[in-house]
Amino acid sequence: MTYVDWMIKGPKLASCNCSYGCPCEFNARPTNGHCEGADAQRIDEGWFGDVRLDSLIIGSRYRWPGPVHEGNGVVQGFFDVRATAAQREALFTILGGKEQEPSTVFNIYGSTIAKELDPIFAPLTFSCDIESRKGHFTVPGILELRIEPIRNPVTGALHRARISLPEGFEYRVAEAASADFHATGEEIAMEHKNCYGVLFDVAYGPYGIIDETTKAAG
Amino acid sequence: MTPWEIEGTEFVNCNCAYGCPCQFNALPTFGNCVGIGAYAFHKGRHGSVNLDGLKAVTIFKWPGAVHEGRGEMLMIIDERASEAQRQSLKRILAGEDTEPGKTVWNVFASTMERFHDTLFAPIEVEIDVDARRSRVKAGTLIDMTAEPIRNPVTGAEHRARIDLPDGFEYTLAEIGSGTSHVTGPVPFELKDSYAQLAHLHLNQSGVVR
Repeated sequence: MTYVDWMIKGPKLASCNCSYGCPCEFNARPTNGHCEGADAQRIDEGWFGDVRLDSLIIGSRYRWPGPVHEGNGVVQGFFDVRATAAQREALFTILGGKEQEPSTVFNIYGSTIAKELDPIFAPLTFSCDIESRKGHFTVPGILELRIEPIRNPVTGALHRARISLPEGFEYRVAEAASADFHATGEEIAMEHKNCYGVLFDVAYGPYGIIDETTKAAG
Repeated sequence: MTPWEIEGTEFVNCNCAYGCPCQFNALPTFGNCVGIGAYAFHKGRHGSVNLDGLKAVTIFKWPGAVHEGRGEMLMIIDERASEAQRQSLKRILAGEDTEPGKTVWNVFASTMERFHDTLFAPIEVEIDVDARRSRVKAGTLIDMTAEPIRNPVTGAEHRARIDLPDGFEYTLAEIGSGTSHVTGPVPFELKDSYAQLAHLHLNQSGVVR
Protein backbone atom coordinates (compact mmCIF):
# COMPACT_ATOMS: atom_id res chain seq x y z
CA MET A 1 0.00 0.00 0.00
CA THR A 2 1.35 3.42 -0.85
CA TYR A 3 0.31 6.55 0.94
CA VAL A 4 0.67 10.27 0.57
CA ASP A 5 3.92 11.15 2.34
CA TRP A 6 3.33 12.88 5.63
CA MET A 7 4.84 13.41 9.07
CA ILE A 8 3.92 15.20 12.26
CA LYS A 9 6.72 15.59 14.76
CA GLY A 10 6.98 17.40 18.05
CA PRO A 11 6.42 17.30 21.79
CA LYS A 12 3.20 15.76 23.04
CA LEU A 13 1.30 15.81 26.33
CA ALA A 14 -1.24 13.14 27.24
CA SER A 15 -3.36 12.52 30.31
CA CYS A 16 -6.20 10.44 31.63
CA ASN A 17 -8.06 9.84 34.87
CA CYS A 18 -5.94 6.80 35.82
CA SER A 19 -3.31 6.74 38.56
CA TYR A 20 0.23 7.77 37.75
CA GLY A 21 1.71 5.24 35.35
CA CYS A 22 -1.72 4.34 33.83
CA PRO A 23 -2.27 0.57 33.96
CA CYS A 24 -3.53 0.62 30.35
CA GLU A 25 0.03 1.27 29.18
CA PHE A 26 0.76 -2.21 30.56
CA ASN A 27 -2.45 -3.81 29.24
CA ALA A 28 -4.16 -3.81 32.63
CA ARG A 29 -7.57 -2.25 33.25
CA PRO A 30 -7.99 1.48 33.95
CA THR A 31 -7.70 2.50 37.62
CA ASN A 32 -11.26 3.77 37.91
CA GLY A 33 -12.87 1.42 35.41
CA HIS A 34 -13.26 3.98 32.65
CA CYS A 35 -10.99 6.33 30.74
CA GLU A 36 -11.26 10.04 30.09
CA GLY A 37 -8.67 12.68 29.42
CA ALA A 38 -7.02 15.02 26.98
CA ASP A 39 -3.90 15.22 24.86
CA ALA A 40 -2.11 17.79 22.70
CA GLN A 41 0.86 18.01 20.38
CA ARG A 42 2.79 20.90 18.91
CA ILE A 43 3.89 20.05 15.40
CA ASP A 44 7.40 21.47 15.30
CA GLU A 45 7.94 19.88 11.93
CA GLY A 46 5.21 18.47 9.73
CA TRP A 47 3.85 18.06 6.24
CA PHE A 48 1.17 16.26 4.28
CA GLY A 49 2.20 15.99 0.65
CA ASP A 50 3.14 19.55 -0.24
CA VAL A 51 1.18 21.16 2.61
CA ARG A 52 3.44 22.29 5.48
CA LEU A 53 2.09 21.81 9.02
CA ASP A 54 4.94 23.35 11.04
CA SER A 55 4.09 25.11 14.32
CA LEU A 56 0.44 24.07 14.37
CA ILE A 57 -1.08 22.79 17.62
CA ILE A 58 -3.55 19.92 17.75
CA GLY A 59 -5.33 18.27 20.65
CA SER A 60 -8.29 16.20 21.70
CA ARG A 61 -10.44 15.15 24.61
CA TYR A 62 -11.81 11.65 24.93
CA ARG A 63 -13.94 9.35 27.04
CA TRP A 64 -14.58 5.61 27.00
CA PRO A 65 -17.11 3.98 29.35
CA GLY A 66 -14.67 1.13 30.14
CA PRO A 67 -11.15 0.23 29.03
CA VAL A 68 -10.21 1.77 25.68
CA HIS A 69 -10.11 -1.59 23.88
CA GLU A 70 -13.76 -2.29 24.73
CA GLY A 71 -14.74 0.66 22.52
CA ASN A 72 -17.76 3.02 22.60
CA GLY A 73 -15.49 6.02 22.92
CA VAL A 74 -16.39 9.66 22.33
CA VAL A 75 -13.77 12.05 21.06
CA GLN A 76 -13.49 15.71 20.11
CA GLY A 77 -10.59 17.24 18.22
CA PHE A 78 -9.10 20.68 18.86
CA PHE A 79 -7.45 22.48 15.97
CA ASP A 80 -5.28 25.52 15.77
CA VAL A 81 -7.42 28.40 14.51
CA ARG A 82 -4.40 29.57 12.50
CA ALA A 83 -4.59 26.49 10.23
CA THR A 84 -5.55 27.25 6.62
CA ALA A 85 -8.23 25.27 4.82
CA ALA A 86 -5.57 23.05 3.22
CA GLN A 87 -3.86 22.46 6.57
CA ARG A 88 -7.18 21.60 8.21
CA GLU A 89 -7.94 19.08 5.48
CA ALA A 90 -4.47 17.55 5.91
CA LEU A 91 -4.86 17.27 9.70
CA PHE A 92 -8.36 15.75 9.37
CA THR A 93 -6.92 13.14 7.03
CA ILE A 94 -4.03 12.26 9.36
CA LEU A 95 -5.97 12.29 12.62
CA GLY A 96 -8.86 10.47 10.94
CA GLY A 97 -6.53 7.55 10.23
CA LYS A 98 -6.49 7.89 6.44
CA GLU A 99 -3.31 7.61 4.33
CA GLN A 100 -1.71 5.29 6.90
CA GLU A 101 -1.52 1.69 8.11
CA PRO A 102 -4.24 0.19 10.33
CA SER A 103 -1.63 -0.17 13.09
CA THR A 104 -0.98 3.56 13.67
CA VAL A 105 -1.98 5.34 16.88
CA PHE A 106 -4.77 7.18 15.08
CA ASN A 107 -6.28 3.98 13.67
CA ILE A 108 -5.92 1.94 16.85
CA TYR A 109 -7.65 4.60 18.95
CA GLY A 110 -9.98 5.42 16.04
CA SER A 111 -11.22 1.82 15.94
CA THR A 112 -12.54 2.25 19.51
CA ILE A 113 -14.51 5.45 18.83
CA ALA A 114 -18.30 5.31 18.46
CA LYS A 115 -18.98 9.03 18.30
CA GLU A 116 -16.95 11.99 17.14
CA LEU A 117 -18.07 15.44 18.22
CA ASP A 118 -17.69 18.43 15.90
CA PRO A 119 -14.12 19.71 16.02
CA ILE A 120 -13.32 23.00 17.72
CA PHE A 121 -11.10 25.62 16.09
CA ALA A 122 -9.56 27.89 18.69
CA PRO A 123 -6.43 29.86 19.58
CA LEU A 124 -4.81 26.87 21.31
CA THR A 125 -1.85 27.43 23.62
CA PHE A 126 0.81 24.80 24.29
CA SER A 127 4.03 24.56 26.26
CA CYS A 128 6.11 21.52 27.12
CA ASP A 129 9.44 20.92 28.86
CA ILE A 130 10.00 17.19 28.80
CA GLU A 131 13.17 17.21 30.89
CA SER A 132 11.50 19.03 33.78
CA ARG A 133 8.15 17.25 33.24
CA LYS A 134 6.14 20.43 32.86
CA GLY A 135 3.46 21.09 30.28
CA HIS A 136 0.41 23.24 29.71
CA PHE A 137 -2.32 23.12 27.06
CA THR A 138 -5.40 25.27 26.78
CA VAL A 139 -8.46 25.52 24.61
CA PRO A 140 -9.52 28.91 25.95
CA GLY A 141 -12.79 28.72 27.86
CA ILE A 142 -13.18 24.99 27.20
CA LEU A 143 -10.25 22.94 28.45
CA GLU A 144 -7.06 23.29 30.44
CA LEU A 145 -4.44 20.58 30.96
CA ARG A 146 -1.54 21.18 33.32
CA ILE A 147 1.29 18.68 33.81
CA GLU A 148 3.85 18.78 36.61
CA PRO A 149 6.39 16.37 38.11
CA ILE A 150 5.20 13.61 40.43
CA ARG A 151 6.33 14.05 44.02
CA ASN A 152 7.35 11.47 46.58
CA PRO A 153 4.44 11.21 49.09
CA VAL A 154 6.82 11.05 52.07
CA THR A 155 9.68 13.40 51.24
CA GLY A 156 8.04 15.67 48.64
CA ALA A 157 11.07 15.13 46.38
CA LEU A 158 10.49 15.05 42.64
CA HIS A 159 9.99 11.49 41.40
CA ARG A 160 11.30 10.62 37.98
CA ALA A 161 9.83 7.56 36.26
CA ARG A 162 9.64 6.73 32.59
CA ILE A 163 7.54 4.25 30.69
CA SER A 164 9.42 2.48 27.94
CA LEU A 165 7.39 0.70 25.26
CA PRO A 166 9.93 -0.62 22.75
CA GLU A 167 7.15 -1.57 20.32
CA GLY A 168 4.74 1.19 21.35
CA PHE A 169 2.43 2.79 18.80
CA GLU A 170 1.95 6.11 20.63
CA TYR A 171 5.41 6.60 22.13
CA ARG A 172 8.56 4.64 22.78
CA VAL A 173 9.73 6.47 25.92
CA ALA A 174 7.63 8.88 27.97
CA GLU A 175 8.30 10.81 31.14
CA ALA A 176 5.54 10.03 33.63
CA ALA A 177 4.08 13.05 35.39
CA SER A 178 1.08 14.35 37.32
CA ALA A 179 -1.81 15.83 35.35
CA ASP A 180 -4.60 18.20 36.38
CA PHE A 181 -7.27 18.90 33.80
CA HIS A 182 -10.75 20.27 33.51
CA ALA A 183 -13.07 20.70 30.57
CA THR A 184 -16.51 22.20 30.10
CA GLY A 185 -19.22 21.35 27.60
CA GLU A 186 -22.30 19.21 27.15
CA GLU A 187 -20.18 16.14 26.46
CA ILE A 188 -16.83 15.13 27.92
CA ALA A 189 -16.96 17.69 30.69
CA MET A 190 -14.46 16.53 33.30
CA GLU A 191 -12.33 17.57 36.22
CA HIS A 192 -9.40 15.58 37.58
CA LYS A 193 -6.36 16.30 39.69
CA ASN A 194 -3.13 14.42 40.36
CA CYS A 195 -3.68 11.72 37.78
CA TYR A 196 -1.76 10.16 34.91
CA GLY A 197 0.20 12.47 32.67
CA VAL A 198 3.03 11.86 30.24
CA LEU A 199 5.33 13.98 28.11
CA PHE A 200 7.26 12.75 25.10
CA ASP A 201 8.72 13.67 21.76
CA VAL A 202 7.35 11.71 18.86
CA ALA A 203 7.14 11.68 15.08
CA TYR A 204 4.26 9.90 13.36
CA GLY A 205 4.04 8.92 9.68
CA PRO A 206 2.01 6.59 7.46
CA TYR A 207 3.72 3.52 8.95
CA GLY A 208 3.54 4.58 12.59
CA ILE A 209 6.22 6.01 14.83
CA ILE A 210 9.27 7.20 12.89
CA ASP A 211 12.13 5.87 15.00
CA GLU A 212 15.05 7.83 13.63
CA THR A 213 13.48 11.12 14.53
CA THR A 214 12.03 9.99 17.83
CA LYS A 215 14.25 11.34 20.50
CA ALA A 216 14.20 9.25 23.68
CA ALA A 217 13.16 11.48 26.57
CA GLY A 218 16.17 12.58 28.55
CA MET B 1 28.86 -0.26 58.45
CA THR B 2 30.10 -3.34 56.62
CA PRO B 3 30.43 -2.57 52.90
CA TRP B 4 28.70 -4.93 50.48
CA GLU B 5 27.85 -5.26 46.81
CA ILE B 6 25.60 -7.65 44.91
CA GLU B 7 24.80 -8.27 41.25
CA GLY B 8 22.02 -10.49 40.09
CA THR B 9 18.47 -10.71 38.84
CA GLU B 10 15.10 -10.36 40.52
CA PHE B 11 11.50 -11.34 39.91
CA VAL B 12 9.05 -9.43 42.08
CA ASN B 13 5.32 -10.15 42.06
CA CYS B 14 2.76 -8.04 43.94
CA ASN B 15 -1.02 -7.80 44.01
CA CYS B 16 -1.18 -4.58 41.96
CA ALA B 17 -2.23 -4.37 38.35
CA TYR B 18 0.45 -4.55 35.64
CA GLY B 19 2.48 -1.39 35.90
CA CYS B 20 2.20 -1.19 39.74
CA PRO B 21 1.18 2.40 40.54
CA CYS B 22 3.59 2.44 43.50
CA GLN B 23 6.48 2.57 41.02
CA PHE B 24 5.10 5.98 40.06
CA ASN B 25 4.29 7.09 43.62
CA ALA B 26 0.56 6.47 43.24
CA LEU B 27 -1.50 4.33 45.63
CA PRO B 28 -1.65 0.54 45.17
CA THR B 29 -4.36 -0.78 42.84
CA PHE B 30 -6.42 -2.48 45.55
CA GLY B 31 -5.40 -0.25 48.46
CA ASN B 32 -3.09 -2.77 50.11
CA CYS B 33 0.16 -4.42 49.13
CA VAL B 34 1.26 -8.03 49.33
CA GLY B 35 4.36 -8.97 47.41
CA ILE B 36 7.14 -11.46 47.01
CA GLY B 37 10.61 -10.99 45.58
CA ALA B 38 12.95 -13.73 44.41
CA TYR B 39 16.62 -12.93 43.93
CA ALA B 40 19.48 -14.77 42.28
CA PHE B 41 22.74 -13.15 43.29
CA HIS B 42 25.28 -14.11 40.66
CA LYS B 43 28.02 -12.14 42.38
CA GLY B 44 28.12 -10.72 45.83
CA ARG B 45 30.09 -9.97 48.92
CA HIS B 46 29.38 -8.57 52.36
CA GLY B 47 32.61 -7.50 54.00
CA SER B 48 34.82 -10.56 53.53
CA VAL B 49 31.90 -12.97 53.05
CA ASN B 50 31.42 -14.19 49.48
CA LEU B 51 27.78 -14.39 48.36
CA ASP B 52 28.27 -15.64 44.77
CA GLY B 53 25.49 -17.87 43.48
CA LEU B 54 23.18 -17.54 46.47
CA LYS B 55 19.43 -17.10 46.26
CA ALA B 56 16.81 -15.59 48.52
CA VAL B 57 13.10 -14.80 48.70
CA THR B 58 11.48 -11.95 50.60
CA ILE B 59 7.77 -11.78 51.39
CA PHE B 60 6.13 -8.46 52.24
CA LYS B 61 2.69 -7.47 53.37
CA TRP B 62 1.25 -4.06 54.24
CA PRO B 63 -2.36 -3.15 55.11
CA GLY B 64 -2.19 -0.03 52.92
CA ALA B 65 0.43 1.63 50.76
CA VAL B 66 4.04 0.72 51.54
CA HIS B 67 4.94 4.20 52.75
CA GLU B 68 2.10 4.13 55.30
CA GLY B 69 3.93 1.38 57.19
CA ARG B 70 2.69 -1.34 59.56
CA GLY B 71 4.24 -4.01 57.33
CA GLU B 72 5.42 -7.51 58.01
CA MET B 73 8.29 -9.29 56.34
CA LEU B 74 9.59 -12.82 56.01
CA MET B 75 12.89 -13.89 54.46
CA ILE B 76 13.64 -17.30 53.03
CA ILE B 77 17.33 -17.91 52.49
CA ASP B 78 19.12 -20.53 50.45
CA GLU B 79 19.76 -23.52 52.70
CA ARG B 80 23.14 -23.97 50.97
CA ALA B 81 24.33 -20.71 52.56
CA SER B 82 26.86 -21.05 55.38
CA GLU B 83 26.15 -19.48 58.74
CA ALA B 84 28.24 -16.40 57.81
CA GLN B 85 26.47 -16.11 54.44
CA ARG B 86 23.06 -16.38 56.11
CA GLN B 87 23.92 -13.54 58.47
CA SER B 88 25.18 -11.40 55.60
CA LEU B 89 22.10 -11.91 53.44
CA LYS B 90 19.82 -11.24 56.39
CA ARG B 91 21.55 -7.96 57.08
CA ILE B 92 21.38 -6.78 53.45
CA LEU B 93 17.74 -7.83 52.97
CA ALA B 94 16.73 -6.25 56.28
CA GLY B 95 18.22 -2.97 55.08
CA GLU B 96 21.12 -2.98 57.52
CA ASP B 97 24.64 -1.85 56.59
CA THR B 98 22.93 0.53 54.17
CA GLU B 99 22.74 4.30 53.89
CA PRO B 100 19.21 5.39 54.86
CA GLY B 101 16.75 5.22 51.97
CA LYS B 102 19.30 3.96 49.48
CA THR B 103 18.06 0.43 48.80
CA VAL B 104 14.57 -0.98 48.42
CA TRP B 105 15.27 -3.25 51.39
CA ASN B 106 16.29 -0.35 53.60
CA VAL B 107 13.17 1.60 52.60
CA PHE B 108 10.92 -1.41 53.14
CA ALA B 109 12.53 -2.17 56.51
CA SER B 110 11.64 1.33 57.70
CA THR B 111 7.96 0.48 57.08
CA MET B 112 7.97 -2.83 59.00
CA GLU B 113 6.47 -3.48 62.41
CA ARG B 114 7.08 -7.21 62.33
CA PHE B 115 9.93 -9.40 61.08
CA HIS B 116 9.06 -13.09 61.00
CA ASP B 117 11.77 -15.63 61.84
CA THR B 118 13.86 -16.32 58.75
CA LEU B 119 13.28 -19.66 57.05
CA PHE B 120 15.86 -21.73 55.15
CA ALA B 121 14.94 -23.83 52.12
CA PRO B 122 16.29 -25.16 48.85
CA ILE B 123 15.62 -22.25 46.45
CA GLU B 124 15.52 -22.54 42.67
CA VAL B 125 15.39 -19.26 40.74
CA GLU B 126 15.37 -19.04 36.94
CA ILE B 127 14.93 -15.52 35.55
CA ASP B 128 15.10 -14.44 31.91
CA VAL B 129 14.67 -10.67 32.20
CA ASP B 130 14.43 -9.89 28.49
CA ALA B 131 11.92 -12.67 27.83
CA ARG B 132 9.87 -11.72 30.91
CA ARG B 133 9.89 -15.33 32.07
CA SER B 134 10.76 -16.75 35.45
CA ARG B 135 10.23 -19.81 37.58
CA VAL B 136 10.91 -19.85 41.32
CA LYS B 137 10.53 -22.56 43.92
CA ALA B 138 11.47 -22.50 47.57
CA GLY B 139 10.97 -26.02 48.81
CA THR B 140 7.25 -26.60 49.17
CA LEU B 141 6.72 -23.08 50.54
CA ILE B 142 6.81 -20.99 47.37
CA ASP B 143 5.98 -21.45 43.70
CA MET B 144 6.22 -18.43 41.39
CA THR B 145 5.89 -17.99 37.64
CA ALA B 146 6.33 -14.96 35.39
CA GLU B 147 5.20 -14.75 31.78
CA PRO B 148 4.86 -11.92 29.28
CA ILE B 149 1.77 -9.73 29.51
CA ARG B 150 -0.56 -10.33 26.58
CA ASN B 151 -2.58 -7.84 24.58
CA PRO B 152 -6.23 -8.30 25.62
CA VAL B 153 -7.42 -7.96 22.01
CA THR B 154 -4.79 -9.70 19.90
CA GLY B 155 -3.15 -12.01 22.46
CA ALA B 156 0.26 -10.78 21.31
CA GLU B 157 3.03 -10.43 23.89
CA HIS B 158 3.16 -6.87 25.23
CA ARG B 159 6.54 -5.43 26.08
CA ALA B 160 6.58 -2.55 28.54
CA ARG B 161 9.35 -1.32 30.79
CA ILE B 162 9.58 1.01 33.75
CA ASP B 163 12.65 3.16 33.80
CA LEU B 164 13.55 4.78 37.13
CA PRO B 165 16.74 6.76 36.51
CA ASP B 166 17.05 7.54 40.23
CA GLY B 167 15.41 4.36 41.54
CA PHE B 168 16.57 2.61 44.73
CA GLU B 169 16.02 -0.93 43.40
CA TYR B 170 16.54 -1.00 39.62
CA THR B 171 17.08 1.39 36.75
CA LEU B 172 15.11 -0.53 34.13
CA ALA B 173 12.58 -3.29 34.77
CA GLU B 174 10.74 -5.44 32.28
CA ILE B 175 7.11 -5.78 33.26
CA GLY B 176 5.42 -9.18 33.10
CA SER B 177 2.50 -11.14 34.45
CA GLY B 178 3.12 -12.98 37.73
CA THR B 179 1.45 -15.83 39.55
CA SER B 180 2.58 -16.86 43.03
CA HIS B 181 1.54 -19.53 45.49
CA VAL B 182 2.87 -18.56 48.91
CA THR B 183 2.50 -20.74 52.01
CA GLY B 184 4.08 -20.47 55.45
CA PRO B 185 3.57 -17.74 58.06
CA VAL B 186 2.51 -15.07 55.51
CA PRO B 187 0.39 -17.02 53.00
CA PHE B 188 -1.26 -15.53 49.90
CA GLU B 189 -2.06 -16.27 46.28
CA LEU B 190 -1.36 -13.95 43.36
CA LYS B 191 -2.64 -14.61 39.87
CA ASP B 192 -1.76 -12.69 36.69
CA SER B 193 -0.73 -9.55 38.55
CA TYR B 194 2.23 -7.16 38.48
CA ALA B 195 5.55 -8.83 37.82
CA GLN B 196 8.82 -6.95 37.66
CA LEU B 197 11.96 -8.56 36.25
CA ALA B 198 15.22 -6.70 36.46
CA HIS B 199 18.96 -6.87 36.69
CA LEU B 200 20.19 -5.76 40.10
CA HIS B 201 23.43 -4.09 41.02
CA LEU B 202 23.35 -2.63 44.50
CA ASN B 203 25.67 -1.78 47.34
CA GLN B 204 25.47 0.00 50.70
CA SER B 205 25.00 3.33 48.88
CA GLY B 206 22.20 2.19 46.55
CA VAL B 207 22.01 1.28 42.88
CA VAL B 208 25.45 1.18 41.26
CA ARG B 209 25.12 3.24 38.05
